[in-house]
Amino acid sequence: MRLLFVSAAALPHLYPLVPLAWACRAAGHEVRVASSPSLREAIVHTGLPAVVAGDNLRYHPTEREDLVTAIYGQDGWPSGWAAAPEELSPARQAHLRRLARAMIDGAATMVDDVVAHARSWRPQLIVHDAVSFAGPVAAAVLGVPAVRHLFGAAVVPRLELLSGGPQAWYAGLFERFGVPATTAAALTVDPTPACLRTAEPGRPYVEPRHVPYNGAGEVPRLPDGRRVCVTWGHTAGRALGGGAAEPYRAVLEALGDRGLEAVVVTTPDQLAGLGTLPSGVIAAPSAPLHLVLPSCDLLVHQGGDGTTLTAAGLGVPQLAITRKPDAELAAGRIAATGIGLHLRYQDLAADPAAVKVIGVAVAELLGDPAYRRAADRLRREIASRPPPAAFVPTLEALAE
Amino acid sequence: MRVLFTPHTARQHLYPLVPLAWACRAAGHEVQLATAPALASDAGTTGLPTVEVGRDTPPTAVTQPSLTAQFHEHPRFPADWPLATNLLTDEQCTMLESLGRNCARAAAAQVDDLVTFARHWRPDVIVHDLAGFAGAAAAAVLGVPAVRHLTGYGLRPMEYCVPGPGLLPAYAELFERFGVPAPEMPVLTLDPSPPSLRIPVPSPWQEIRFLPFNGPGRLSAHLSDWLNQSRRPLVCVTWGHGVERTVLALGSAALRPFRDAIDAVAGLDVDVIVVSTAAQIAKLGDLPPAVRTAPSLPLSLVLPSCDLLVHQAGDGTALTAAACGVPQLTVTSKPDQALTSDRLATFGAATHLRYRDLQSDPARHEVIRSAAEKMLTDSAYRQGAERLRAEMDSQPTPAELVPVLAGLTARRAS
Repeated sequence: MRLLFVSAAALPHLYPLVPLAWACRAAGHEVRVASSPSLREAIVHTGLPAVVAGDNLRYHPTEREDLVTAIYGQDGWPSGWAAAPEELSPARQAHLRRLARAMIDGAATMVDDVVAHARSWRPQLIVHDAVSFAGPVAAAVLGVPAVRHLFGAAVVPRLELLSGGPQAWYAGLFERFGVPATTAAALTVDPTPACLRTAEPGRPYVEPRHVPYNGAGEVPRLPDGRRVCVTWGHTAGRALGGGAAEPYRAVLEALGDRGLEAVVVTTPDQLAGLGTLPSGVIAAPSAPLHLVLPSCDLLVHQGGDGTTLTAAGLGVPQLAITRKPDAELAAGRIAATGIGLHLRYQDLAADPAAVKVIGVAVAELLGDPAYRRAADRLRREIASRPPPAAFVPTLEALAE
Repeated sequence: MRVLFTPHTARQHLYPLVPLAWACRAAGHEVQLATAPALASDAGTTGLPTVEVGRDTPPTAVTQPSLTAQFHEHPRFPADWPLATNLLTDEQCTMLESLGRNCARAAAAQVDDLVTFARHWRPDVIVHDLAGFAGAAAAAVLGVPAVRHLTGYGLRPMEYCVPGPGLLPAYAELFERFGVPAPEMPVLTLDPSPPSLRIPVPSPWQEIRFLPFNGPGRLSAHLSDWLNQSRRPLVCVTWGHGVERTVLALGSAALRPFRDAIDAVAGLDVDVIVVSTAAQIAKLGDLPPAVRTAPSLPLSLVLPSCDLLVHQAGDGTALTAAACGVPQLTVTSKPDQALTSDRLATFGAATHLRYRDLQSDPARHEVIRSAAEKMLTDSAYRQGAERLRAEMDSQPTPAELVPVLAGLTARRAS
């Protein structure tokens, strides 16, 4: 069987697809991964063949700045807002439509090449990350099943369907090939454990174990000892540059005040932005997070989906400090399930006692064994799920 | 389960391990790859977490260029020589043993650090390619199963004295420095050879389907369109990764067979695509205008569009073509390549030419060209290649071998 995986042009969208793609290849199937040129080297480092589609989505600088400001300038949204987006204020709903438009624009840049490649290579199945709309378009053009692969709590709500149906921009992606717009996948793959979801995935769905792929990288050789891990994912650094590290300076200060050792996992660029690290803090630049966490008692992070699921699978309690509405969804579930706490950057930024607030949260997470127990329960629940490899026969059956 | 993969320091030894490593990871197991520093950047394009162990050692082509030369100028080995080692001359036995000694030398620079790392990470099983001796030693030191993964059937297990019996002293020393005895046999050998071509290794062994992993690939829409357009027959020419080392010993002479093959097929009414690294392509000089080059493109992405592959018959190249069902014209210089080619030719999927017979022949381009032409016009080769692919498609996949590895560790636990 030939499978084309399609990813939006960002690491948090590519990485969740990788273990399933490896599973298909190791079972003898042919696999290719398509995305925008900006993701090419990241795909290459997974070992899978990269199909380079279209051009990178380019914004006018002021337009980009405006979008980043809109995303990172939101005030705190109510936790669990995704359950009823229609109850959000008109301004917030407009923000969501704008995000949807950005995703659809991203799909529009690659859809012609993805469809052209699909027409010549003729995959029997297309697996696409939840917001890679070029995937369902190519599947509709070829008349093959589309499998929608979710990546965490933030896939809800489906922004392309806001306002009661497919947005005109979304339908337009299909119309350029003369096929009717589809919004239902043949199958949904959701590696998010039920307790961390904000809604049930579309039916039919399967629930494989979340197996972390956090990028190819060197195995970190850390000194012995237990630590608090601090990371802030990939997206904020790309959007905000050095500003992405801001709340985590306060985190490191809070950890230092309490005599706790820390390991910072981020890119060399972001690390440079932190300046000289305080004593008791070591860096593991670009190390795969799942290889650092086993020696950690706590993870402080930005509320990213991949980060949340990686820590959940390893039974590490979490402190999420969120800065944008989609991150609040994962963080809301972290707090609700008792595996961690949720703070909002917007509150901390306005609080002269922010370091103290963070310190209190850290002390509670490390001091109250209930968090560790809840995290361990969730770890066992995740480990009891069949791995991605177990669902290759499901995909084979779909493609027949 | 924790699985540690430890290849010998060369791409062609790393790549065959990758699909099994992916299979283990996709089945939820923990996987790490330990390599010498020189292989780390290639290891980084497999997606697997990599740990650098030990020191790099200069390749044999640098330390013993005369040995590399000997492998290209050797007296012809007997047919199927691994099954009749009593027919080998003393010189041939010494040559074969030198392969093992050189692998032991590379492993000696890695093994201390590898054992330290393995004691820390505590793998449940270690999978090493047939030349990755350090992995075998680390497994013995930790008391965990060692699984030896062959690269094909041209390269044979090389830790033994030839004609034997017994292990090479340099191999045994890798174990003895830790006070453990070197076992005569690994706990399991994985053999990716197609059943009809396989040269048996002693039990216990297990077949595994060869799935091509030829390194990272970037497929542009432009190249993809070119590969898929309807056209004259398409002939691919490649010379594998090993030739990079050979160049270090023999200089540009190492690339003469490659260049001759290109010039020969360029004279046919076909399209030609040359797949190699950018560095090798640059060393080939100006190529005929009809020849297209594809620097660092995985062979497995190109071959499905091809009617013929002309190559040197390294294990990985030959099995990649076999897995893609493409007829093969081989121009060989070394005994392992000849072994691979003879069996492919007997099966009906290849034609084998020896470069030693051609190199002084002013008509060598015509010889290669007419062999290629015959293979392109006689559909028997395509049928043979298809038969070989069908045979490989029925072999157990790496994914199906994961429970076998888990079983090795369970047996140890019980």
